[in-house]
Amino acid sequence: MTKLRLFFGAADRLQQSTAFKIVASIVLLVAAIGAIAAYSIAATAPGALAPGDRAPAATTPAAPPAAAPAQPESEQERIQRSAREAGQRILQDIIDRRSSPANVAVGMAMLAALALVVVWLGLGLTYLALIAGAVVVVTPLWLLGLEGPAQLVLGVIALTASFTAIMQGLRLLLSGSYPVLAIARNMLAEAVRMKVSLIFLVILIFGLAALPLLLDPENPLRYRVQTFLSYGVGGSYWIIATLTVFFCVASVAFEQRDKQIWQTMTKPVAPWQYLAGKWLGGAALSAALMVVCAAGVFLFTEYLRRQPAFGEQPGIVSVENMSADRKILETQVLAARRAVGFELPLSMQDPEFTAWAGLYIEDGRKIDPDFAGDAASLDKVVTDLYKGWQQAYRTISPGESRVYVFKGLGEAKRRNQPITLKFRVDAGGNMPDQLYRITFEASGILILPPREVTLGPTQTLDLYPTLITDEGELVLGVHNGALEPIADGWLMRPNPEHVSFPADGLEVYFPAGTYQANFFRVALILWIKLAFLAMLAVTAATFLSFPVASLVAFSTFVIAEGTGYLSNALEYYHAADAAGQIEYWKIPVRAVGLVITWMFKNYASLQPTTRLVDGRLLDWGHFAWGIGVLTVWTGALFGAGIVIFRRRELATYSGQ
Amino acid sequence: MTRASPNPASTLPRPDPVVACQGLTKVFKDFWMRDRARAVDNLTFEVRPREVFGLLGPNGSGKSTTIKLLLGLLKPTSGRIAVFGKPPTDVATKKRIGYLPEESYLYPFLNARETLDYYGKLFELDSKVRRRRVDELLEMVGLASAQFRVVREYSKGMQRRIGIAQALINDPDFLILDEPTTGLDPIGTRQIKDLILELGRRGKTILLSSHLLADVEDVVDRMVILYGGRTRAEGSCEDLLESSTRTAVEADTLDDATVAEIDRVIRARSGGAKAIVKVSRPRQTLEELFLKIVEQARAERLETSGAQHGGATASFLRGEPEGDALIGHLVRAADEPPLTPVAPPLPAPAAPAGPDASIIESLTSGGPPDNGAPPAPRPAAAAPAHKPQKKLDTREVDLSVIDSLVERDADAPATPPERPA
Repeated sequence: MTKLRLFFGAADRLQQSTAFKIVASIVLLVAAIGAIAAYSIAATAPGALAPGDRAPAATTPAAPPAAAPAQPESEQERIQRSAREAGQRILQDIIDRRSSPANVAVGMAMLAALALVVVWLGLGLTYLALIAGAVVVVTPLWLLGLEGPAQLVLGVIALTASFTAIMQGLRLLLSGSYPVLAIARNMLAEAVRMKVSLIFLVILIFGLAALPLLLDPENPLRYRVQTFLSYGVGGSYWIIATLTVFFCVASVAFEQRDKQIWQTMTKPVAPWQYLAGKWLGGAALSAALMVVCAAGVFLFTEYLRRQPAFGEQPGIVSVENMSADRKILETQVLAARRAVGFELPLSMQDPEFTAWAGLYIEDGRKIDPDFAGDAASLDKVVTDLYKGWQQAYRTISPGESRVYVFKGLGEAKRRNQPITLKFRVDAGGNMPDQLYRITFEASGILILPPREVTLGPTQTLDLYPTLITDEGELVLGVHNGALEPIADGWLMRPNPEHVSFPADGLEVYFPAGTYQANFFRVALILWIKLAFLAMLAVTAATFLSFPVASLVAFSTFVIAEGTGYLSNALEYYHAADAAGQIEYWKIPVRAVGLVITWMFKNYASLQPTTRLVDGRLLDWGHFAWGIGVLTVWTGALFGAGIVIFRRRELATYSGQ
Repeated sequence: MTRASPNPASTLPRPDPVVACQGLTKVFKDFWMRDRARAVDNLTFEVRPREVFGLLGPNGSGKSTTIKLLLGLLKPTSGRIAVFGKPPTDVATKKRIGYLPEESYLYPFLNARETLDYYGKLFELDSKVRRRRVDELLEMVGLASAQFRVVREYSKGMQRRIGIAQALINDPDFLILDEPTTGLDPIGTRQIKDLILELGRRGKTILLSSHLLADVEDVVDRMVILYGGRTRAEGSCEDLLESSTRTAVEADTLDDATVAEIDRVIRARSGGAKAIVKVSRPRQTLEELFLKIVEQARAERLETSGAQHGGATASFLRGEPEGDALIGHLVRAADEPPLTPVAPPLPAPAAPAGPDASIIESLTSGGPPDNGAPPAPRPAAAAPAHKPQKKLDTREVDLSVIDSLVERDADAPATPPERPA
């Protein structure tokens, strides 16, 4: 065993030597130039397969509609056609990018560049060994028809290789002769050599590699992609966050317990340098893992994107024969859309509402003089009243209709691309076998035929941006029933019960950025959250033992993540009950809940994973605000940690 | 062995102490803030520049607590501490301090080289200097061949050696050694003693804490003996250990008649007031026997997977120029004639820890073994005026007695040893 380790040690020193790097680089460059030249000759040779032959429909422009109107189109029709074509162009671009032959040469060049980076990171032999291992293990599995395990092994090897390269890069970055960097680098070594972190690393890498095997190929492609994004990004984030918390706490707490800190802090290392080094190490580790996971998820999503969608034939995708599944995938999932909810005509501060509330309370006091007698009861009554009004506003009686106004859609109109109405209808007990018919009316134009909707699930309706007014408003009428044309007007066929939309159950989405940029922002925000957690864990471990500090840091993390739910729950949690009786023990509970909500509301409102899965934009403004808030919190924790750490006695009584 | 008693008659201004503790008290409290243990109680002492200072006492006497207070790992309950005139928490001061804790608390996941490299970075040492020092220290502590093994696989003694190396990585002005020989074999112990002496010769200040009295006696200039956190005795080794009522004479084996003759001479010269009290044959110490056996095994090239025989003291610790400075010096020397006389060659590295190492060293350096002058010191290290090799102080012996015996001894060598000046 020792001899094997010594052998690996010697091999590692060899691959880190400059001579090896130079020789390997020359070999790689020659191979890459040869491969690109061979491919170019093959691609340009007579009889070579033309790119357009692969998917002719994808490269030819969309044919004009067969039944083009004979008479000149009106301005409204022209705008609608223009919007439709813009939507088609988006899809066409997506298809074109997939079949470009230049990608092969660029891909080869990028691979060669990556290989050079690997060699100069001192990992040339490590990667060769990984590739050899992959061939040895995967080939027999493939030959035996065990594609799933083969994919799993390949995934594990790819993720491990990426992680190794990034860690090596980080080690180089942190190799400076400065205490903060030295401590951070030491933490990275600790991360890959200690069991506490290795367990999480193994879980993460195996989990992510195994995730594709859990996707049901019978499901529509968009659901597969959403499931993968949700578990890939969200699951990875939770594992990395847990690792970050436990690893940072362990690194600081165990160093105090095992007294290595004595030898560090008796060197010229200031308390702030020690804490900054520990934080940097934890943040760098989480960054490495986040990059590996994000890159893995992104690349596998791109792979999934190239798989046949529901109802598609493999290899043939064009705008004309594009399935609804793919269209939704491309425009609603792998997208970056901004969501706009409808405006409420009344706010709680509106004089009309306050007058109404005053009358309500007055009436109540006629029956019970103590009704809403104290501030807490009054607040609850007014809040409940407003919520009741909101609920009523989102509810439509059978055969009735209501108008909702969406504002701030100027950007959607400027972009002149299709917008999406996302709605969720609740009625009665949301029986799954019931179908309701809802008629929409946008800017005075009835959208026929009426939509048949299932109760409960979210559904969508594509709308033209031409329906948006010049002021950026969309006026949407919703009829609870089916409006059908008859000879002398319209016939309403009402649904049997009231329908209502939940708080976020009626929104307009429009494209406002690219999926790739959105993915990048989401990954970055997730890392900023992890960096915050690293500081939280380091600070907690400056004065608490490992179990207590872990509990404190992890609980804070869970609470911060669950603040959204807590906030919703607090809306219904009051010290006073419906009869106005105050349960005093609820007062401090609610106060604590409110403080937590206030503290973490910005953290919770970011919702990066949910946004990514829903194809919603995390815009730069929100992104910058999130980073700013988290940076301030991280800085505040750092300051607190320094104060605590300076006051601590790192040594204890020898007789203890 | 060296001994440097301070010269009270000196008219030079007394240099600032490296460590000054005044009324230092440390009381450990329990959760309810009740006094649990008074580890250090009103302790006052100074460690002066360029001295080897011993902190002695039994287990639990407050030695380690005092050291932790000096390093800022603990905060005093009362009293004052200054290290190089600054509070113990001063970060810049720590650049001048090397510390070896009572146990080597190392990162188990690092190997020896990475460990030393890490600590070198904490001192912001340049990568070239760091690499050279790591190489030399690994060689010095005998772990060069095990440098790529992780520390968790090391034996306690090997970990101790790495601990010692990390304490020296910054070439400290002030070295704090808390039980440095714990876990070391006799060779390592001997090497530590030699190292302390060598660093002492270079003018380093060393605070040595130990309860192994033999270790301390061999190397310290001054000491304080603690018990229950309080000072029980303080002074130089001579002051504390020397017996003023006895004289010991060591010679080749003597027969009974010769001993009787000596006794007769003593009685005659003292008028019958003095006589030989005890005649014994000196025993070889166990340490000497052990060292001899190991040296023999090494000479036979027997294999071991443990620590190798430690090499010479790292050159940077001997005050030799490092890296680029050395190369620059050599280049300049080749290009132009030196303006100042060339310094005499540096002394040979400390000889492998054998019983006669100091004698061999003094012979190779061309000077008498006890001439008191440190071999080729750097200017900074020139201050200790007198650190004579530990030997019998002939000034306090009646030399004529010995002379008369030598002249009458039939087995005496043809050329009697030169009479000491």
